[in-house]
Amino acid sequence: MSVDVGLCFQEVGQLGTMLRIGRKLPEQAVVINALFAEGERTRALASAIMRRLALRSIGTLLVELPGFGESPDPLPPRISGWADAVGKAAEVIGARASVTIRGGALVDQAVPEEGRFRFAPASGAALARDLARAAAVERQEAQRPGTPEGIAEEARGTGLRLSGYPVPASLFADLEKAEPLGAAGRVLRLAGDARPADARVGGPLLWRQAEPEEPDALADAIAHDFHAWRMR
Amino acid sequence: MNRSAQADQTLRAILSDVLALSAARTAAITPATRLLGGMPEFDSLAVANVAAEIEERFGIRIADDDLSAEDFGTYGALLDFVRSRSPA
Repeated sequence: MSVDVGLCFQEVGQLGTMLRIGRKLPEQAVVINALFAEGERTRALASAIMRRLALRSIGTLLVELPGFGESPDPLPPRISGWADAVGKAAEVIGARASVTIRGGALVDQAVPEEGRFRFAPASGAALARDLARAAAVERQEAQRPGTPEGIAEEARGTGLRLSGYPVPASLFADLEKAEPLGAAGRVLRLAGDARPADARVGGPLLWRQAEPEEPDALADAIAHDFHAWRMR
Repeated sequence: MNRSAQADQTLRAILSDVLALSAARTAAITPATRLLGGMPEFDSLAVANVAAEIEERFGIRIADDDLSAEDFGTYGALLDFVRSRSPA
């Protein structure tokens, strides 16, 4: 069986081109992947979700946040740089909804609250800690000094290369204070996570796996939940 | 479920998720189960990931010098650590 849902690359102003599936479908949503190294591990999940949503007549666009993925731009000096990119992308495709993965939830403000779907939302403070901790492990293995707190201080003061990303000081400082803003229409978490959520699904902690497992079952669950929620 | 049992359940879920343990292996964990140095999956990156999940799911902050090898030596030690840091 083959279904023509139309995969294309959508130009979004100065932000470059972004993967888009199902541009003619009646409902459109932006997909915001996790940030930094987590996003590298969940990109396959993001596109698997997008394919499944297209089969449910929901068109999507994967926002290329400045500094990540296929974006031609460097990391922005402030977190608002990412939020602005989301706003422009949502406007271009007429999206009234979003699907975010982990830290993507920190930058979905442009989407109306009732349309925000957040999978495993994380606080900016937690993500900043992760970056500092990963850098500390790297230094330890290279037998160089550095503790997570010391590294965070460096990052805050002068900026630092973290997980291979040249993070400006102002962006790191923003990230440390960032929380998902406003309410979400729906929050979905993994089964083992007791934090507040509207529903939970079973699945692997992909964003923490050095070699992420295949995302298909989790993508099925997320797409199913999103679709059921939108259609209620 | 009381807080103590909830902490145990959450910590087991963290280990299961981070280390990709089977349900059987997760259920078989006892306070005496050795983690760091005992489980092949438990390397320094795993310690960082488990610490991160503990911070996130328990809403506690693990200071750098809190992260001692002893606290990660056995499941019992880690559970005690988490319980002592969790708000009463």
